[in-house]
Amino acid sequence: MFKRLSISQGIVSAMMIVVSLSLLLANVIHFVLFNEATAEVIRTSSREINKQVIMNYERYIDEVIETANYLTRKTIELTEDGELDQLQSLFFQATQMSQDMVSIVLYSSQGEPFIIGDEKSTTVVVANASWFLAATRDKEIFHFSSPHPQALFSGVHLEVITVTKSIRYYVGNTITDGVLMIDLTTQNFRGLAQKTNLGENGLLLILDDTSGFVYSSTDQCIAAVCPAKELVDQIIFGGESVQVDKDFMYLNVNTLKHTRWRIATFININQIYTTRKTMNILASVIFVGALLLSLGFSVILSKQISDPLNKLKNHMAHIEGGNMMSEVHVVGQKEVVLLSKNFNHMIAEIRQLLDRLVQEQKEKRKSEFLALQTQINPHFLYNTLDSIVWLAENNQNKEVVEMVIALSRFFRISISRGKNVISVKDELEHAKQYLHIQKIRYNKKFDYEFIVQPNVYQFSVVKLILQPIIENAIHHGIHSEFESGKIRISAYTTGKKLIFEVENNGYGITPERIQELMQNMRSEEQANSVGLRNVYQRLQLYYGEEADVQIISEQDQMTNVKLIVPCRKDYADEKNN
Amino acid sequence: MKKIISGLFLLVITVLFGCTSPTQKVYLFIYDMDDPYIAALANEIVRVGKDYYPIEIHDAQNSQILQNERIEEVLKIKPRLIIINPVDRLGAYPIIEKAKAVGVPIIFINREPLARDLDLYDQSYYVGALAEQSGILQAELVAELFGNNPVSLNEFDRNNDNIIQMIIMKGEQGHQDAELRTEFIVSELERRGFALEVLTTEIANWNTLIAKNRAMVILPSLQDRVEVIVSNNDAMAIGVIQAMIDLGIFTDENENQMVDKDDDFWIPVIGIDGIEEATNYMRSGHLYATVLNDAIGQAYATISLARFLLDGIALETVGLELTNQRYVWVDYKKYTLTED
Repeated sequence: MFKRLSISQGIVSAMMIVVSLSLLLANVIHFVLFNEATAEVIRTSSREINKQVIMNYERYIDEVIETANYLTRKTIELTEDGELDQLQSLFFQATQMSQDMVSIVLYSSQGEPFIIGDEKSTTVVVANASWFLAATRDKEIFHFSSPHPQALFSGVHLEVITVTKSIRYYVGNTITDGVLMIDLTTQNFRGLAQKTNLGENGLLLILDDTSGFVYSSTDQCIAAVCPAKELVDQIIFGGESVQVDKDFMYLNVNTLKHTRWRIATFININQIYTTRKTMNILASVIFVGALLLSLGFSVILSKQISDPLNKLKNHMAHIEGGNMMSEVHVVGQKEVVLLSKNFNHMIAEIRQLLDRLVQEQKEKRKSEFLALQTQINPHFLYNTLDSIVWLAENNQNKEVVEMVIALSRFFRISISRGKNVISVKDELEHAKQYLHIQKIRYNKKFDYEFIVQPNVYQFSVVKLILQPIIENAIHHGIHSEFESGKIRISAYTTGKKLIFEVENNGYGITPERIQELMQNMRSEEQANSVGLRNVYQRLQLYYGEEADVQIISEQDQMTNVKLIVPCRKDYADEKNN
Repeated sequence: MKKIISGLFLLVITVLFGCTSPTQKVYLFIYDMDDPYIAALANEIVRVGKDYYPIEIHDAQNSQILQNERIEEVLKIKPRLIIINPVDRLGAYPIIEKAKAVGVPIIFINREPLARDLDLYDQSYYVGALAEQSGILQAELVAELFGNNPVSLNEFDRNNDNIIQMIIMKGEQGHQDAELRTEFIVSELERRGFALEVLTTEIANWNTLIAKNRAMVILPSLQDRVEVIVSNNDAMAIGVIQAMIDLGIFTDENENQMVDKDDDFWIPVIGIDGIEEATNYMRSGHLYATVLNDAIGQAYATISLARFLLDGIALETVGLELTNQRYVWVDYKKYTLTED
């Protein structure tokens, strides 16, 4: 892993993977746990509110039922004893003692009032009233009607819930069925609903067993179309989070004991939802923020590590390009600073070693050079001096003089006050004096000519390069059988090259021999052709690759040796001293 | 590396979301396990049913809200069957509608929902005893006690007026069983020609302690006149017995903690249900008799109905029958020690 990446890429990606994975995990866990926790809070708290409402109503209903049971018992007792007045006053007292009970009436099975608790109540026959019919249908249970306008009081408009129950009473000695009716004002009933805190736009609905409205906290819901009621009809009972219009609500539906009513509470949970949403957004923002921050930090950190290394790397490339002189100064981590210091040390060491090596090479070349130069002289001097002796013995004084002058000039140029590089003019002069001496020595058996472009005189050249070639040309090119050999020396320039040619008209050399000569010339070993090799080696030492020696030969026609050197004007060149 | 990451991820997912499997359980909702008869019935159902289905009991502790909550949760996982002993039998209709919406069959036991509520759903059933039968059997016990001859009552007619002076301990007002038992004890005795005087009908909500408290109030003035006390259930009968022991109405001449019927003074008390405690009081002579609301029989009937609904085992093979396609009636039995 990460092997193909750069250090900084590796650090950044490793860090990002670790950070993003752990952050993601933390966020997912947070999201799930938090949402679950809030859902649980919503569920339990709204359930508690609903439970509270139910309990409040249950208490209210229980009180009514307790009173009704008491009245039921008393009705049997008192009617049996014929104490109808006492029963009537009991009914009346009950309406006085309770705020809610406005009217208590005992009806016969035909719906005629038998005992009327309050004289304000009218004496209407109620056989067709729904609450009366309900009581006669299911005799053993209490019936709670929906709120309706009180029909019994004359003049006063009051909304009541009618509670009925089939009970038994005595008429004389016979027991008979009747219906006990208690009217409850809805004032406290509504109050119980209104004091419940359901949050903004919260709803409280009470529905009967046919899903008809008993109570609604909002007037809108009495209308036929009520989305809240439809939700209640859907879930029947239980708890669920729902949406009413634009509000998130938690709906709880529970049954109310004894009444066959269901109480539905819609508790506004917008705030919890918004908080949850905010929390989730915040968590996402933190997630992205932390990711960016760690990205930034890892980029900076990786840059701090990799930058010095990169600098070092670039510096190394620089040195590879040949520049050994500069030093690198890296600022950064300790390790890298140490590394760069050591690197500098190493480069300094290498530089020293290289300098010494160059110096040593120079020394070596110089000594070799000098050695090669000195190889030339004695050989020629003996021969010339022999010739002079021979001329003197034959009293050829004029030739002796010429010879001695030529020799002296020859040597003056040879020595050239110790310089290695001389002007082309001197070099050609040197060749001329040599040829002059040899021509006398060889009894004028050959002729020579110089063809020189005037512009070559401005240049300079390593000294004593023509003489060994000419020596070869005389040796191998001139033979006694031929009356006159011919040697032509040319000097000219082509482009930036300065070219010397020495050509004789001898019988030439075979290509194989040329090949051999060339190889011999280039090899390090000492071999036969001392002169050619000597010249070649010195040219190489001084000019390097820029210099070359070429040999062309035609059988029985000529042999041409070409020396090629770069055009240079360094007369006073002291480098090779 | 990738495997580790995905493995970790899977682990987290599993831990967070868990996994739910379809349930084979049958859920039993009990109105209140503090009610001895109901507790006995519930335990019998689990005992009889455990050979066929794992049964999970949910005790509502006499709270319809709690019971609704539990039923709602259980219906969410769509069980094969729910058995309900409702807290408020009038509040059964939303449960029936919800079970219908989910498509879960439902058996009510012990507390009978209104017939029109049961009719809301063709998969709703009721297993129970006919309350009037218990009243009739209780009346038979009273008749037997007084010599079975309405024209001339035996020595238990203490004042020799040929009228039975009776106190009735009534269960919850409006509870069908309470109403019917109370009604039929009276009507059956009258049908048999007995003259009857109900000294008082005390409502004690099936509860021993309430019954005891009511008895402590009324007995001092009625103890000389009352000839028999009938109770809608054993629990209230026991409450009355405890009150009479506390008030010293029962005498114990030889101090053996027993009522020796020939030597000690005692007022006959008759209950309904036949719970274990009632048997103990019968052994000690305090309780004259009871009507066995056969918990074992009802449990057996409930599980037989469950097996019919879930596995198609016909009820007839176990000697039961389905009345009106939704009722399985279990007979009450008279229960006295002498008849053992």
